[in-house]
Amino acid sequence: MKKLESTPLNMVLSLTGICLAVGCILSGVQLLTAGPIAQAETESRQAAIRAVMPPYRQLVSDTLQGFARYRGYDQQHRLTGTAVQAVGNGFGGPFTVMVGFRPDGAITGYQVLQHTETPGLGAKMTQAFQTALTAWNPCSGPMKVKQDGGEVDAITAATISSRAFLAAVNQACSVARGEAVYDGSTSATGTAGCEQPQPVPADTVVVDSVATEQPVAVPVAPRPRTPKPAAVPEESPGPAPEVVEPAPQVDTPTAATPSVEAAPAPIETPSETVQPAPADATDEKADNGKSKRKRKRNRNSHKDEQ
Amino acid sequence: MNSKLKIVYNGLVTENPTFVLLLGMCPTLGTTTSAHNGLAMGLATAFVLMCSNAVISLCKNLIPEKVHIPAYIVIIATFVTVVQLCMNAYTPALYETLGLFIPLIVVNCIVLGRAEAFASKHDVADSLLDGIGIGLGFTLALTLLGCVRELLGSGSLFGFVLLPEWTNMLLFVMAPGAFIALGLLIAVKNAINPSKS
Repeated sequence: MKKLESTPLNMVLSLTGICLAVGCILSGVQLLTAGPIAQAETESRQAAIRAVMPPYRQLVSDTLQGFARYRGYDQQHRLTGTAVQAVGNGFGGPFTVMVGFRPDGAITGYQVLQHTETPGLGAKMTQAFQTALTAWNPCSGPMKVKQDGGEVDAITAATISSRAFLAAVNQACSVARGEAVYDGSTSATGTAGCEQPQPVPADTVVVDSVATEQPVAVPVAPRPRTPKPAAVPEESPGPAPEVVEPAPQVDTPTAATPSVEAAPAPIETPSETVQPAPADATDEKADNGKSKRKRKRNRNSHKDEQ
Repeated sequence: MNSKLKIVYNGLVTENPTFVLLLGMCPTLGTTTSAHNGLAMGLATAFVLMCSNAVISLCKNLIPEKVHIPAYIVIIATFVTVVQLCMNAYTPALYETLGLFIPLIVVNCIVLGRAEAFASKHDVADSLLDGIGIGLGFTLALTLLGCVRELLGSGSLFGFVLLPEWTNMLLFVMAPGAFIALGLLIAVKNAINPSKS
């Protein structure tokens, strides 16, 4: 067969034909793969929720200012934990992270769902902050890297990713407490929710029910975020190790302090990260600075002597 | 038969897209941070190359000369999208690491280059073999580059840790290290098998 001449009609026909055929193929493939793609996404999200949250019997999801929030309840409809899916703007583009919280607001863990950070650098965020986050007191203000005057060690050579990650986690903390989204502008935002928790919005959906016993009445009933401890339902002996404490709410910073101290001790830098209040932390930092300076001075004086 | 093997050998060694033609440098440098990523990217490109070569060779007479570039690009983009959708659906973990680079196969000049230089002038079987040869050559080059960079930069190979952490040279994980490693590999290739030019 001879090659088609480049007449206008031939060109239009040829391109139209190719595009039509291609469109049919692509829509077919799209139809075939849409199901598995959605399933894979749901599965990875469910797995992330299970991994970061304390054990739960039933999972309830809602959306708060555009952020997906998942709350787990035990058999007695008491809150066992919260997970929030936050979005950060990293070095290589947006990333999604699932952050898990205990009812008192302390972080139980996190999992990065999707990211495009530099492998070997920013990509280390998938593991690097586990210790720092679980040791952090959520009522001591937003987390910052040391370069910004905070307490968290940034990933070496990936400060932008580290900053973005902590911003996303701070955002997740705000959402988990049900308050305004953290915008990074004021340092006070982080503590506000510790005193003024807001009522749970009603647009809740049960997304993952592990137990089939009482799946219906869950969404609004527990109201775990109201400030009074009376919101906790009957204290019955149940297999709920995470909610044994009578007051899972964080009413005052003093109420929050012991629970954070009771948190599993961090592995790497135990003495510094367990500091319950930011004031102490800065004091210690100042002390460190002073002692360092003193040491330097001593060294200098030794030099002089020599 | 001999001429058929020669087509594959040509793509694999004599006209290796990365080490000899130096085509498609963007995915080469961008995705080879680890051996696994390099291999996966190479295979994805090889698949697209095979399919597009075959299809373009099949309908080369139906495409008028003046619109052949847009027609080729549409065909290539179709296969890339098919690869992307399938990867997203059936290998989500791989898609997570490579997802960003898959659409870039469309603008990988090897694919269009082979369509233009080979598939539009040869029959379907030869074009398919050329796609296999060039694709395997690209995969080989990317995997080698990924191995070198992963070993020097992260001290591991295909995820298995081989070297202690103090030996890691961060440079090789980043883009400048990619250029250095690529230059060294081309030097090694030329020492073993000098190219004509």
